[in-house]
Amino acid sequence: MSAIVDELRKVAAGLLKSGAVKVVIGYENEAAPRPVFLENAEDAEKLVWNDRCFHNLARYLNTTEGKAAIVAKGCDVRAVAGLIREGQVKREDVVIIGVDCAAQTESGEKLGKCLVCDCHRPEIYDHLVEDENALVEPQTDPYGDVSEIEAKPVEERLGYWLGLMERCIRCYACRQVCPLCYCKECVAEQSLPKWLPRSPDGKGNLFFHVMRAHHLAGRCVDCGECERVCPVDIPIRTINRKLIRDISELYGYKAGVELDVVPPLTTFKPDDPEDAFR
Amino acid sequence: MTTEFEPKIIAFLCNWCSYAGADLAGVSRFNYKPNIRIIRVPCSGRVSPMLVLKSLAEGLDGVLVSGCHPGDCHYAEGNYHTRRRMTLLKKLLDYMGIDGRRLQLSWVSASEGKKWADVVNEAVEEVRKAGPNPFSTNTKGSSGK
Ligand code: SF4
Ligand code: SF4
Ligand code: SF4
Repeated sequence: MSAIVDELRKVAAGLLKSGAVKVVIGYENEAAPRPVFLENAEDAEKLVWNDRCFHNLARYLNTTEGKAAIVAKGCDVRAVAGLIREGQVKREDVVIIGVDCAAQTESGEKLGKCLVCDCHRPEIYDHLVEDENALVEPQTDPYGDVSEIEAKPVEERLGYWLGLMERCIRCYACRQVCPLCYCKECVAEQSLPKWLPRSPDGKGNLFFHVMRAHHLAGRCVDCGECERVCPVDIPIRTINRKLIRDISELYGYKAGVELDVVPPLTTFKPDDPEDAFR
Repeated sequence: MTTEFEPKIIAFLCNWCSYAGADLAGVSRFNYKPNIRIIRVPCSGRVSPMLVLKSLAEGLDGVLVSGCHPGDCHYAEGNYHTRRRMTLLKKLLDYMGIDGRRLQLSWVSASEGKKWADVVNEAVEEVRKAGPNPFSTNTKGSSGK
């Protein structure tokens, strides 16, 4: 057992034993890690950590009773920060067990988000499980794919996206898994008024995705969960990151990095760019 | 044989400035293109992105959102929020292949009847360049047939 897992279990057991938290949300099952909710210090032995701890456990923060501790990678922590910032969770009700993370890998390949990761060490935490080897530099241009799409003429872009959108079966897994998509009733499913076409065809799906991405503007932390769970492999991060880049360029904001900065679409500056207006 | 494509545009105007500006354009008898259908809203900040998306999904060729100039909002800051929200939406639409020119944005005050006429004329030309809404079920567009 690695020193990292050892440390993780020690922290979790300590928190449960002292009564500091009621539940620890972490991963179990070494071969194929999955979320686990632990309430007894003895069970801390179940916790695992490796490069297949995909789930962003922030999704479960509001599903448990009492104070919770959460095992979180850098990208997950940004989602936790978003939930705190938006008043969904109280800072004092969550104990963040940050874990240094080099990358998550699927069949030996690093996930796309991990190639461009700039948070191998979480920015916010209460306990940190350190791993010096995890602190690697980002490998590629984080927005290469976005620029590639932008370079196409608009009709080609439409063809490109419609080709992908026609595959979408509107299972809403991308929405369900997203820690920041916590609306009780989603506009995608409202029928009075019916804001969007609900049938899973190219057009309806395209508008659904514009809506989904726009509702996450300035909130999406690029944890990549939406893309990972999509059964038909739609590159959803490529939509999200268009907004992430525009927001960083226009308003100098990055989601989930700091707790006391107001999200960009709930505030403004009198001298914001307005080239889009006549 | 070919009639020029006449875009159909829905315009959301804030009650306090742009709607009054459009009214002034009428009273002053400024001519402008008849391609727009106006809906009055309390503030440009009232224009949810969903109104824009629904308009486009229903097949309208363009959407115009117009409010008070920054600093002049009747509700102090509604239009500042509009500015961020609509700027990002326009870019996102364009990225997704829905020509960004379909979303037209302007500031028109109650005293700018002439500017209103110009804004409409320019917006119509921009949307005309973007062409008929590819999602329109009326394949003839709104070319008067
Ligand atoms: S994005 Fe960074 S913190 Fe998140 S899983 Fe990848 S390497 Fe780990
Ligand atoms: S939209 Fe996707 S990448 Fe962004 S926070 Fe939600 S699940 Fe994570
Ligand atoms: S997970 Fe994929 S298929 Fe399901 S609704 Fe989202 S984009 Fe469509």
